[in-house]
Amino acid sequence: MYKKPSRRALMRGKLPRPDLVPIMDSVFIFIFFLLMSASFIKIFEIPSDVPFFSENTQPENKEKPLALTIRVTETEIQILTGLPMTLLKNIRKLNPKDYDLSTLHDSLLALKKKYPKETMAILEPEIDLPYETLVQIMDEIRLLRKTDPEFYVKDKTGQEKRLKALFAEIIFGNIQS
Amino acid sequence: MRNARSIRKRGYKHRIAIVDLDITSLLDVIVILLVFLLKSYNSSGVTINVPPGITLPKSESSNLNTTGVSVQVSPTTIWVDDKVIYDINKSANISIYDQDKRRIIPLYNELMKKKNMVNRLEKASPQAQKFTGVVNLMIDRTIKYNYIKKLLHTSAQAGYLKYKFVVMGAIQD
Repeated sequence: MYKKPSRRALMRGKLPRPDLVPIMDSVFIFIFFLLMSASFIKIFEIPSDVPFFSENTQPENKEKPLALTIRVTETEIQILTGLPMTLLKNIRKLNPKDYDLSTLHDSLLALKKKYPKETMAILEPEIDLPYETLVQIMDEIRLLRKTDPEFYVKDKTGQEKRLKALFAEIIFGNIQS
Repeated sequence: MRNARSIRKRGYKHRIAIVDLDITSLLDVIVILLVFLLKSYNSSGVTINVPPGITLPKSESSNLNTTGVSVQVSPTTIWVDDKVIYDINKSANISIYDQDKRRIIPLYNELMKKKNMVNRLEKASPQAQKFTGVVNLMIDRTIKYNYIKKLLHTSAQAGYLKYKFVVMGAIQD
């Protein structure tokens, strides 16, 4: 015949439950701290420096400087290189509104392949561009996307380092004008 | 009879059952909340305040913000660290430019004031934060380059040699 288990027997089978109250307290404090420092809109920055003009003679360099300049006109984007500047490529607008930014990016990738150590680009918009278009052009000049080829340069220790940006330093060449 | 019953039940009355709350589901919710908050944690430590009237352009940039003087520019107003320094509705007839319309006088004066204040603090206390020359530019996406040029020129004239264009991340998760 089935016998009802005694209370002591039932107690023996019980597992001790951990006291979660202190953990809950600390987690609650942590949540408030995170709520205070959370940013729900992602805001970033695009750095740029003021151009400096020096009258001193430059030290002699065996490698020819790239001196990459990107000029934005009413109808096209011009890629100029070298000193004195020579026109490398003209990129016509796709339509009266939009610039051909993918061709600009591809052309800059080809240049980066030749000059992997170059990081600076001079941007010279010659027309009254809206700020949004300017940011789009700056993105194409600066950023390396996941689908882009990888570039490596040797650092001071001789180890190869993967580049994270295309031409990261953008300088506005005509803010004085 | 009544007394006898109450004496019989006295033991039960004193035995108060402790309600054991099951907090497993609550813990689940808190863990999910914790993960979500950790994802949106702002590690740069810089608080960016975008005033009304400014819509930032979208960018694929992922550079974290740095501390510096904030210059906020909408089509009608210029703020420096959230303080209105020029409002077209209030001072439309006053000329605010000099140096061949390249320098914005109220902006230059305010930036110089900020720079001098930092320099004074630097002299007073060696532990004070040094002047970095960083200016965070929060510009409305509709503003044209000719006006941006004036902002950049004015900032450079005031000694701010590092521009940081504040943009909105293209992918908002």
